[in-house]
Amino acid sequence: MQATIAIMPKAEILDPQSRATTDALERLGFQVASLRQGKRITVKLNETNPEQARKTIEKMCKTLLVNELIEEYHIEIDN
Amino acid sequence: MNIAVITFPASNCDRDAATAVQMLGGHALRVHHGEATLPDDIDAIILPGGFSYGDYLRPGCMAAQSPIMREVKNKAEDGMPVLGICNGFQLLTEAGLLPGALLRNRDLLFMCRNVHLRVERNASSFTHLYRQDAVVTMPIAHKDGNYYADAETLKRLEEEGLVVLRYCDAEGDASLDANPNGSIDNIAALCNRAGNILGMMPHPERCADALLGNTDGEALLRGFMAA
Repeated sequence: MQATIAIMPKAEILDPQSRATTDALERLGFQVASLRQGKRITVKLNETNPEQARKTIEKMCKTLLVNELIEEYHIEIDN
Repeated sequence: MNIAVITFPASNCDRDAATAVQMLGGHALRVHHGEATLPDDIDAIILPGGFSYGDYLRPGCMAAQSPIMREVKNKAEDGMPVLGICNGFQLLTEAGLLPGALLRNRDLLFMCRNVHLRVERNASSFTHLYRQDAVVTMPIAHKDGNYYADAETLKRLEEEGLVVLRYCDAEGDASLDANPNGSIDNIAALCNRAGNILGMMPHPERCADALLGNTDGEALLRGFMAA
């Protein structure tokens, strides 16, 4: 079973990386209404129960992968 | 005065911190991050600067999960003085020992230069050897020193006087221009409510020896060692 975790800076955080990427695109002539840049992590588990897999990934996020003060995340479980 | 200096993978100011402690008359005990216990006879702990685990994922986040950190947390919660410098400050926030987080610098640059700092609170045991509102100079060397806390936390930090050092200009004005990294309210160092845990982005251990041309960090280290 594989999980994909999308981690994004929270909307209220002024994220310098997203701002720099936006500025670069605009310098190239693109019109950007908004841009947020984050991380994507894929994890394979030896787990066949999707509920259990989600629980484990959730715990990984809360323990290490995400700092919920500054980031938010979304988990997708694939077979 | 026995001071444990913890070494994480890719710490790079651990030796400097230990040397500064020794020079100021303390005894530095180097401790590996994989240890489960701290030496019995220590009086204080330094979490040094560096780029633990290559700053992967988030600076300090993996070091915060090291075996030794359970022990550091226990000691910190019992009131032992803990000084986190640079990566050590990032680690303290990731470990939940100090509030907030350190984001990428506002201008995305690695900043390595001297900055002016205003001593906001000389009532703290770490800074009682400075004059209140003194302006001191210390080096910074970081890419992720942009302090962030939510509005409620920030209000509490300010109300309780937990901001210890603020980036300022030579006159002591904590202006936007004097802010090297985008830190909210120019925060360069803060302590916990009990006053025994201090996190700071500037490097006092790099300015505690006359040979290096600046001794402004000495009083902070002395304050910490006498705490």
